Amino acid sequence: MKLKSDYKRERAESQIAHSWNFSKTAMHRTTGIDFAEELESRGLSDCYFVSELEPKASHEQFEPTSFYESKSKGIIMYFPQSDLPKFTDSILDEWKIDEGKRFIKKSKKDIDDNIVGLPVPENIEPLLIDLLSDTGEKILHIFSVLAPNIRGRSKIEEVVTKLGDLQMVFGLAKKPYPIDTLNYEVYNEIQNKLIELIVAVHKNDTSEANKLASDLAEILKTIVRTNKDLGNSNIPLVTLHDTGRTIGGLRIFTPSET
Amino acid sequence: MNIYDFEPIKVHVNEEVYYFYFKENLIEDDYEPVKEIHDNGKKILISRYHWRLLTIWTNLILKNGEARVSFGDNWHTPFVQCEYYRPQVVGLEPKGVDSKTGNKYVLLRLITLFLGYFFTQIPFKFNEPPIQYKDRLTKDKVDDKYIFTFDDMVGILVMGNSQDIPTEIIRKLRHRR
Repeated sequence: MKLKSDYKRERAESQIAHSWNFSKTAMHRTTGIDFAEELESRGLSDCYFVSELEPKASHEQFEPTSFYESKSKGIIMYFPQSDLPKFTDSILDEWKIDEGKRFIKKSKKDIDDNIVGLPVPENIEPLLIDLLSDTGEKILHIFSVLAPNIRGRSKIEEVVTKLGDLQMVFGLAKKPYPIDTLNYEVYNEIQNKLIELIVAVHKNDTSEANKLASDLAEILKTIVRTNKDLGNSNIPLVTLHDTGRTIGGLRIFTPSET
Repeated sequence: MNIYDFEPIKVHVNEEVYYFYFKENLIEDDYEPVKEIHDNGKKILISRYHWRLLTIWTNLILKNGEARVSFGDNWHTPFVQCEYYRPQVVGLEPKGVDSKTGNKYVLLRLITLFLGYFFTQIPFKFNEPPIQYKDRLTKDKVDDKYIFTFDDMVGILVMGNSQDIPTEIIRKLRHRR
């Protein structure tokens, strides 16, 4: 008998399958090239297209936006559907992989300078993928193993190194997002707490270190639990922009593409 | 309100909240609360998504004065017919180091799931005639764990205009903090 979580997973997968067909057809129709094959020939395997929807302010409605994702590489590329006709086989020259392992369109300066996105260190990449495309369990596991050492002040060098890796993961995760987004805020707060924890461990401030470790454990557990419960962790987060407006003192955000 | 698509087994009415009761996968109890609010002469519907997201529907399309609600997915999430759907999100956590970062992440995930599903399911099924449920109405209390409270909410999704959120709701959410 199927459990609730099975249905959730199936629903997410059926959406992806549906969207894949839609986008693949659209790509063929507008470009005449098999974009998936093109990317796979460049070493990006396990690729599929999915679509999400973005607000179009002028019409007060939504139109589909597609994004490209390689699960194995943790690469995500966004493009509005209206851009599809512009796609050519030189598309990879117009996009770059940023520090967050996302494919983003190169700015004019990037193209002028021929800048290519910074490579993500090998030991960080699986953790970044874990955070952006999976449940975050690997990160939680690493942190949970460190926690007794933080409390017991043992293996300090290893603790600091691994906390440094984790703060880098969240630092990279926030980079694709504008600073005025809730997405940036969440990853930034976690990164800051990790940095504060590193400082507390260095300073031998056990009380502060324990408090920060406890806070971080709670946050990381919430992330993993949420991703497992909702079953959509492989779908990139909608970006919530802070509008600067409030209602009754509460902030108002609007969803939009990254 | 008029309801469409999935038929509830019972409809509990407790303190002006309609709890549409389904048996999810024939195993789990599933109560979907929906409440009508009249604010400045305007009808607004509020519902709950995955326990922690308060969903507010403004700019309703009314038929004979009744809102139209479709329970259109496997989880019987209430989707309300509106003139337009312009999602806006109201966060409940302040900016800063003492804020509940985990709640903000939950909000991001819930919004991602809701919008991803919502906009792939349009149009919802509002096939006439609506499902008749008068004979399923009951005043029996729903179990406390299913009560529609704002205690665990991580944010508000407004499908319409955030300025139409009743002040009563904002006040309750602020006092909760």
